[in-house]
Amino acid sequence: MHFDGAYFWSLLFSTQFLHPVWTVIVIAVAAMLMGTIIGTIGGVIMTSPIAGLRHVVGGYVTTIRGIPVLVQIVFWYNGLPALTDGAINIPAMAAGIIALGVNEGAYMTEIVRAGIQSVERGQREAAQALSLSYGSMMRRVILPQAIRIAIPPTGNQVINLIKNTSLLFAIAIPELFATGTNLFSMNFKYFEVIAVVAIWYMLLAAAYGLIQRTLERHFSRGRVGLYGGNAA
Amino acid sequence: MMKTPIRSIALAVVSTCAFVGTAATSDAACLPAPTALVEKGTLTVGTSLTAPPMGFSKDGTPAGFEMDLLGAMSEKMCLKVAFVDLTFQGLFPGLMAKKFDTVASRVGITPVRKEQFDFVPYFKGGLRLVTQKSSDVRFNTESDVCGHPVALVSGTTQMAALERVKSECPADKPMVMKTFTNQIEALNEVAKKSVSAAYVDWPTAANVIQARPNDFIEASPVLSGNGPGTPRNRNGFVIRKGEAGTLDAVSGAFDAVVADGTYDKLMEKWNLADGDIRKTND
Repeated sequence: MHFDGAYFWSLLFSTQFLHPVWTVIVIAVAAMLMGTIIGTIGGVIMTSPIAGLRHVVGGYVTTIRGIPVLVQIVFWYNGLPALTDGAINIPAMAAGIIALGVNEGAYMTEIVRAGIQSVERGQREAAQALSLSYGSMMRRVILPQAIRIAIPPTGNQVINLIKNTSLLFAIAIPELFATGTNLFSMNFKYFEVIAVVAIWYMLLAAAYGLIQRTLERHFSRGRVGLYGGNAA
Repeated sequence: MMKTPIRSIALAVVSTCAFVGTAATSDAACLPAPTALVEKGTLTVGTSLTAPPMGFSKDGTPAGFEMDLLGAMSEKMCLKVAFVDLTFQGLFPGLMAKKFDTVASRVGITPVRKEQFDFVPYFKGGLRLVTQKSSDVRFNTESDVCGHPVALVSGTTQMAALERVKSECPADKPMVMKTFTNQIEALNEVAKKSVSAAYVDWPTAANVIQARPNDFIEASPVLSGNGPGTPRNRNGFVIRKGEAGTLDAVSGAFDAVVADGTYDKLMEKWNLADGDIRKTND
């Protein structure tokens, strides 16, 4: 069995992964923000009475969910310039964030829609009785209650997004996996490098898990869980 | 009546030649084949079909100088040849995992690689920078690349060459490398004007400049990858270390192909005479 323990430990604590990890965090945060904004707007539209807009958003969700993320990434980076003869030429980081953000938006639309639909109809009737406008109703009554339902699936999406940033190696963004491949291509220590890369991704996902727990607790204040005690 | 003797003599001569000819090919013994083949009766070769004219995919079938050369070598050993197409960085782990018998993908012979593998040199390599036709930037050595974003393939001699001089770049002109999985994508970056240059193998550079002279131009002389004044790197078939049977068989087949002139014919067919491994006038 080949395992270079000394190399593995020195690589685990080396600083050469710090910048790539920061790149992953930046991309994940930017794409998630973009996805959440698109998703909230999309989810609100899907539960609104406007049939035309609903069809447009439905089409967007079906299309984006049906295309693999890698294909979408390559489309934004290489497909668009090829289609427009170089007129639209997005730099790699921007293309990566847009591709992941647009992809995220489709899934977030469905999650927000589920959250909104989980709020009972009585809340909407009460808002009408108080003469709240549609915007006020959404902002002050429906969405705050929808968020509590939407957080666990969103957490899944964030962790998937962190892992999907590894696909950006295809457009030469110096993120975690790409740095790993460059390393092991030169020194042939495949297992040691891939183990360190895996550990870094697990750390990122675990760190997000802590953030998620805090969020859930915040949004479940005052609610009692199924077996007593706190809801979250 | 006079024609008949001449005709019959001519016929006799022709048929003797034909007989001798067939006798010659059927008498030619098969050269020894590698002892442990991944697939019996076939030489399985790992490659990356993304670099015309050395190795590329034509109508779905592997084509190129390397493919023809390996075909001729396999024939000498009375084996069939099969190609497995992967990204370049997947070739070495694949060879170690015995997914193929050898790797032929413009692999440069470097000291680091020689620690893990054995090589049969077959081509004089060399690295070349390519830029857009409209660009004036030119490089003499790898150190000139500092400050100019460059596209290249992950895990290659080009990457090693730039990594070597990376630390000597001045602080305001850092080395920016964008690594892709194959040379076509690296060259596409140049066409999109997203990088200053692409660092590829000299045959790939020659091929793309010949095919698209309005988009690409040479941006450097043929570099060795080891610094100025050093001999150009050699490309070799990669063999797992310690497999003397495979090494000797591939070596023997290659020598036979060189000896009977097929090597020269292939060089001429693909216009790659500058890569003749026998010339050492680096």
